[in-house]
Amino acid sequence: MRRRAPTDDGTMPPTDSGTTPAMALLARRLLSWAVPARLRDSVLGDLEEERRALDRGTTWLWVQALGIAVRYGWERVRRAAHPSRQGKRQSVPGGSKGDGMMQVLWTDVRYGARLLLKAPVFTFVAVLTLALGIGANTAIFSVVNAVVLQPLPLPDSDRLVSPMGRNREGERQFFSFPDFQDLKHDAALLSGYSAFVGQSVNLTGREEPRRVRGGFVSDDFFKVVGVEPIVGRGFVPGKDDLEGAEQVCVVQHETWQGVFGGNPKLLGSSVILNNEPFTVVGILPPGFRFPYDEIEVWMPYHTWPAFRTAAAEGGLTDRRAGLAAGIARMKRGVTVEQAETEFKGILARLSKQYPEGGERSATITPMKRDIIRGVKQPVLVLLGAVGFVLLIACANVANLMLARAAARGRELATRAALGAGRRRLVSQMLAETGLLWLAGCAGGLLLGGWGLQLLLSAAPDDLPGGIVPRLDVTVFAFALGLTALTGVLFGLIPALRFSSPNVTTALKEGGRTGHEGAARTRLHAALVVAQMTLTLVLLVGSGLMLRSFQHLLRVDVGFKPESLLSMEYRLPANKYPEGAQQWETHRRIIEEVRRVPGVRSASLVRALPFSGNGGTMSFEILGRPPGEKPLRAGINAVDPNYFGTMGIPLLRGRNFGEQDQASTPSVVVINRTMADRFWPGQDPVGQKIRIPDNRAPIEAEIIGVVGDTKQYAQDDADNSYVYGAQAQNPHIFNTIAARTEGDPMEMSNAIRAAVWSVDPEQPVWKIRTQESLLTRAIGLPRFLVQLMGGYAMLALLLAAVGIYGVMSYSVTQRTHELGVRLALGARPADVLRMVLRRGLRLTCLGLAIGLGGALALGRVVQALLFNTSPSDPVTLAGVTALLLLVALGASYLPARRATRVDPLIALRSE
Amino acid sequence: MTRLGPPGDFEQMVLLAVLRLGDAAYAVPIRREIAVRTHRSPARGAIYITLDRLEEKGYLESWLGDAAAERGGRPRRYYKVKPAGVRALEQSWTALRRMWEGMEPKVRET
Repeated sequence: MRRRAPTDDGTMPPTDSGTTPAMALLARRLLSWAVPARLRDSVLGDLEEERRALDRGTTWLWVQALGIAVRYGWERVRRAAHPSRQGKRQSVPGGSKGDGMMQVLWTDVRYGARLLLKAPVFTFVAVLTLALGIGANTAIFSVVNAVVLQPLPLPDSDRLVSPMGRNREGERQFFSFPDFQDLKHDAALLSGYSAFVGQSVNLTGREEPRRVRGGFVSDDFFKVVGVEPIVGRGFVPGKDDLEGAEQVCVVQHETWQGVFGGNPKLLGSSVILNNEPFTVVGILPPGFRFPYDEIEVWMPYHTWPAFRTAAAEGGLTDRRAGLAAGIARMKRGVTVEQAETEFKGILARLSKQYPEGGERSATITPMKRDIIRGVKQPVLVLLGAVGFVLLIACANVANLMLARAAARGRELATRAALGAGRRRLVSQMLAETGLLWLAGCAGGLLLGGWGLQLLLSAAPDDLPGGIVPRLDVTVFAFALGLTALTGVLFGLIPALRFSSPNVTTALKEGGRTGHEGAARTRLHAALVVAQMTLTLVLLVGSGLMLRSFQHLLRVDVGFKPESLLSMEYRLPANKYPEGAQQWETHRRIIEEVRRVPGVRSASLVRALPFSGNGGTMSFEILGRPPGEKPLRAGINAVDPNYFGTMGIPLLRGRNFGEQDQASTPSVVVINRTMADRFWPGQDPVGQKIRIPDNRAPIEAEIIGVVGDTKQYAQDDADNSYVYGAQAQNPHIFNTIAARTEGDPMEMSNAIRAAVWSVDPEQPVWKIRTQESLLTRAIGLPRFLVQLMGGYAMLALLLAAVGIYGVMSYSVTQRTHELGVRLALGARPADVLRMVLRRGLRLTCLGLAIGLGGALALGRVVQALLFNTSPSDPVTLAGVTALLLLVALGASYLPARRATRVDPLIALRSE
Repeated sequence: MTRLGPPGDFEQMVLLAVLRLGDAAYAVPIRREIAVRTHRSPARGAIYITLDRLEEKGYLESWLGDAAAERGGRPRRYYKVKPAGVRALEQSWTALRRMWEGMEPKVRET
């Protein structure tokens, strides 16, 4: 049918000219690989002829060669998919050498696919195992990527830093305003330094008053951050920052669209913020988010109420009054250490020059690190955990592959004996592995995407700073790298195992595998031990977190959180400038709230426990010499009903009462920890403490002692705490805490209406139940426990499957031997024990190594634990017992099968 | 012997190009002929694969010519349509013509 020319095999020496020899050689190689041998030379000749006629170069040749190679590749796939259409010259699988690697590969792939489909359970388990391992890792890594690797979504964000003042004791504090100005002026390594403080602001002059989150910033803030309004302007130095100038504000795009309903006339119009008119001069671009707070409206720093108060009291020149912190942009090429050294130098000089401000220093933190503090470590621990899961999954699949290869040992040996080369055998195995791997990868990426969605929706809070994890290029590259690694880990081991098949041995041994493959058995055993080790470490980690979480749940917070509703509000300082007016308004509000039907008791508190609010102060005990360090305690201000409403017991002395007014001597109530710490074995009631104040130090008498409460979270240490009377320390900010009958949330509208009956323009916000605050505080630990627990269970399941597979395989291999033993009079119980012993030996070895590993890795999770030692004996013992039990169960099934071996059948099974 | 499926569109074009080119029918001018007449520029790989397939189907035969210097010393593979190929072309044409009978004005109308 076709004429074969003598040169058909393409042995004619090519004499290329006009192309780069190396490149041309590569292109020829590519074509030789893709194109059937008999066409190879003519195709190369055609290309060369055209290249010269068209006067093209090597690149052109490359593109053409690639195009042709791709076409041929596709043609092969097409033909394989529809074998009935293929022409008669289709080669025998793996037969002819000249038909290119593609052909062979394709044959292997098809053969592999058929084998995999013939064992659907094996295939399903292997693919699912891989997909779970890869998917879990991809999902967690996308979070790690967003939190740890990616910069904040701000221009050149690696140059943004958060300077913070430190006092002599190293405690964080704001800089005084003159210090801030000196730092800003003198710091040569910074290209900009702007004050920033976030505080809620009352937005009124609308149907319903509401709170917006305000950002008070100095004029160059937008330049420092690197954002410009898309409409209008930012703040202009020397214009907007002057007292008495027209008050202006800049609005977030999302706020414009949401709060202001996208009003096209917003720019240039006036809005009422904190009871004062502000002209909207700019709108920020959509998507811009300042990472510290979800600010909605930006205002000049001098309009911040605390700044105004300080200015009125002369605090702007006072080196003692902390009034400014903020963010800075370092100049290009400057390191954080250099900037910090410069700051410290300036502050050391200022400390000498203005000693009234005390000895002071500063730390500079990269903004990114400041923001991800508290998130980074849990996220990394989770990544470690899923890494373990992946390793266990790989070990499992490797084990499955080994067992399968062993079961097919005879088939492979036969094929080798019939002339299949070693390379062909390995390549065929690799093709099968490759298929599993591809399916695992595809499933893994899919599960990774879903897993991330699930993770984000289940997470207790959004990640800080507007960080949103995505499956981006980095994640994709990571997933690819990871899957390649898994491929090597689980695929290479079995393939290597068969790179030196001893054909004759395998054939001779045939099915009698009793003494065959000692090395292979060792490999199995090693994999099982590794799995047990990893699983134990993972189980210990999640067990510790569970223990820690249990401890958190059992913490006595010191008050009764049930049926307690809270809401916050801030009076506008310009409407109520005097302390007396402020207290009078608060008093009227809480009286109205008490009248609401269904409210059993209601009280006022400056910093409600678990609301996130709170503060500390330094104090001295009158009659005692001041120590090296000033004494410190938490500070709060409450009304006389607070302790009763919250259920905080009065242990000594008396509560605040109507007699404690601004005009009467200052009194305080302290908590038990403070009483025990400073007056051990004595009665603190009647003692006096001195509290420094911007104006004049306050001397206050201790009138009572109350029980301890947790202020921020269940894992707070017991701290000293001082309560002042709100009547004596009025402030514009307050929190209503009301104990209700029935569901507290149902009372929220009535309580809000009570506030509005006093001032209809007063917004209230953060309407929450105390129980929800408590739950929120343990949200992250709960989430971690759930995730780690899930991973640990997955690992446990995989490990159980692993040990079951190995034991089952070993029993199958030893069928003959076991049959002989049984025939010679061994009792089934002996056989059972023998098989179990082997399984337990592997398990125990794995557990021993795992315990060592768990103790060594304990430090990694220690920071995430509460009241739980990383070597907690209960956890270690419990987890070990659990794993032992699971291993026993997994070995028991194959062991029982071993006892049922019929000696006759076993001996005849050859 | 291979099953002789009726040649597809592109296969017919290649067969016709080989017929047209006569003794000078090898891949380069075959592709040029199709490109010039149909204003389509088929991929080189498609030409080779189709030629190969047509040969498998028994519609074409091929042989290697002499090596040529302008081809880097490599030979040309020449093609010729076999009688089976001519028959297949005729059958396709006849089938099409029958389907077209009386249809031309109608198709133009729509």
